[in-house]
Amino acid sequence: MCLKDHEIVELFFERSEQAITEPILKYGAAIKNVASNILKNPQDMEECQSDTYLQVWNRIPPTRPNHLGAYVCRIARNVCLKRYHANTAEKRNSHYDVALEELEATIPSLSTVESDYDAKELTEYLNSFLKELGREDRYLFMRRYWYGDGVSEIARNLDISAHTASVRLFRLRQKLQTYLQKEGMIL
Amino acid sequence: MNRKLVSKAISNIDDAFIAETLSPPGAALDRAPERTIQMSKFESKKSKVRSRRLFSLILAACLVFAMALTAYACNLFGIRDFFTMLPETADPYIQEHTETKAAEDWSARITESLCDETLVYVTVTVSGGDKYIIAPTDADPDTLAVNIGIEGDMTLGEYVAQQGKQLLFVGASLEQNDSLGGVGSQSFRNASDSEMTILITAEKTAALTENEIICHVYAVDEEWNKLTLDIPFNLAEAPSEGIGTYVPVDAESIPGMIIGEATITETPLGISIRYMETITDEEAVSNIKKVEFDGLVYGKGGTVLEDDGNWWFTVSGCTGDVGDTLIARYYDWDNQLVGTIQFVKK
Repeated sequence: MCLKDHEIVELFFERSEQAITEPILKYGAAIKNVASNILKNPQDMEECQSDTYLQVWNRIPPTRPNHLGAYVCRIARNVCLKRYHANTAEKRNSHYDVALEELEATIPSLSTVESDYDAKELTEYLNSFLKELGREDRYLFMRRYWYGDGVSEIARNLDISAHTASVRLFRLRQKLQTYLQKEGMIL
Repeated sequence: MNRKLVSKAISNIDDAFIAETLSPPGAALDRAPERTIQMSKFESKKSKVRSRRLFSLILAACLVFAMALTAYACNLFGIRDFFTMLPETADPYIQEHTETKAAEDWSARITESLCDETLVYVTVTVSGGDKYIIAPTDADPDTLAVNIGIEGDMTLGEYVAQQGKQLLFVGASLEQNDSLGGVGSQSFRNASDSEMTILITAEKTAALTENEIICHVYAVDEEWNKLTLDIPFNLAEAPSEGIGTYVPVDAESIPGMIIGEATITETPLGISIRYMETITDEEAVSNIKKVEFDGLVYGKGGTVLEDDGNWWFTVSGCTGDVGDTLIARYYDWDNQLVGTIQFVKK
């Protein structure tokens, strides 16, 4: 039985060794999933997983995350992306590439120069957009573009066909494009 | 738009949405999501990362417990129940199994396996009998019971209390050996609240050196007892047909690399292509995003640094026809063609 998030965080604060095993038991599979969607090399995946747990151990305390699962997955994603950018031969054929390409085509041109400020602003619009979606659409969008899952995998988890998932993702991208246009974020 | 900017914007999406979508929304679920796992390995392995060794040790320590035996009947899902696009040519090579191991109040049975030169699929059905409600290891009592196919808004904890049973969280993996790689995944499907089938997917790195494989089924109960059942079973590899060896017309036609001869084979699960890429200019190679083959729908794979110290491009599960010529097209991050390489059959 897995502990609740806040109980695991307390274990980190107590520097208990159990704090190492608990996130593996509870979120290990999700972290591996994130790694396998971004990286191709099994050794890279394994090392990034270990780096993730080490970073979580080093960051808590003082950090006290509200959503431990999101927190460890975010760290895992960042660790994997760092490895991905450093590893030249990884930049091919991953789910991550394809998903990012889809989204890039949806958001073709910004109305302002590209900067960290623009990325922050775009994140805020994405958060607002996601808030307006139904839970299932939000699942589709997040699994595809944040977690980098394949369409067939998402379809399987929602018990819909891959074709239906593709069509719904296409409509979601259209909806996002319209939303960003209305907000003046894209031309 | 700049890809890095989109990536950065997506990366910073609110934690609440990330947490919410860790699991599928309950309303549509009779199947829990796929979880990627590390295949267990009980022999020592060289590691450059100290923390990696530490976590492996802890994981291994968590798995070593035992209980006495009793068997329960299983409602059996098979490999095909987990796929919508498995080629029909795979059907004759799906092996049925009956190997079963049982603990005091729960049991596990290997039901089917399928194996070609690059992949292994195994289904194992876990039964909790009259005592346990079965859930995946990444669930907890606060997880919605709809994740194991129970309609309504109850959590697993509430459902278990209502049924007067206990929770048992289970997962499974294949023991790593000379033929099975270190990374695999598992998908879950509940036949009932007390029976769950796990599909294990594992990479195969070499031809089977021995047919006997060990499936580790592990479980954690509400009292924190960690239990394992080790089930040996025999795996048979579906035959692969060598389509041939293909020689590059100009081995240096892709900037930054020298491409070696391609070996193309076909198995019931699709066509596989494999060749070595000798990197001569890392910067040039870093601009390459994807590879496409004329006439083939791409399966899964990519370029990996293998134990021999070389980068190998390997894809499997491709569909289509390969004639006497194979053309691979390499694209950069702006989807511009950076090079085309033609292979001709030897």
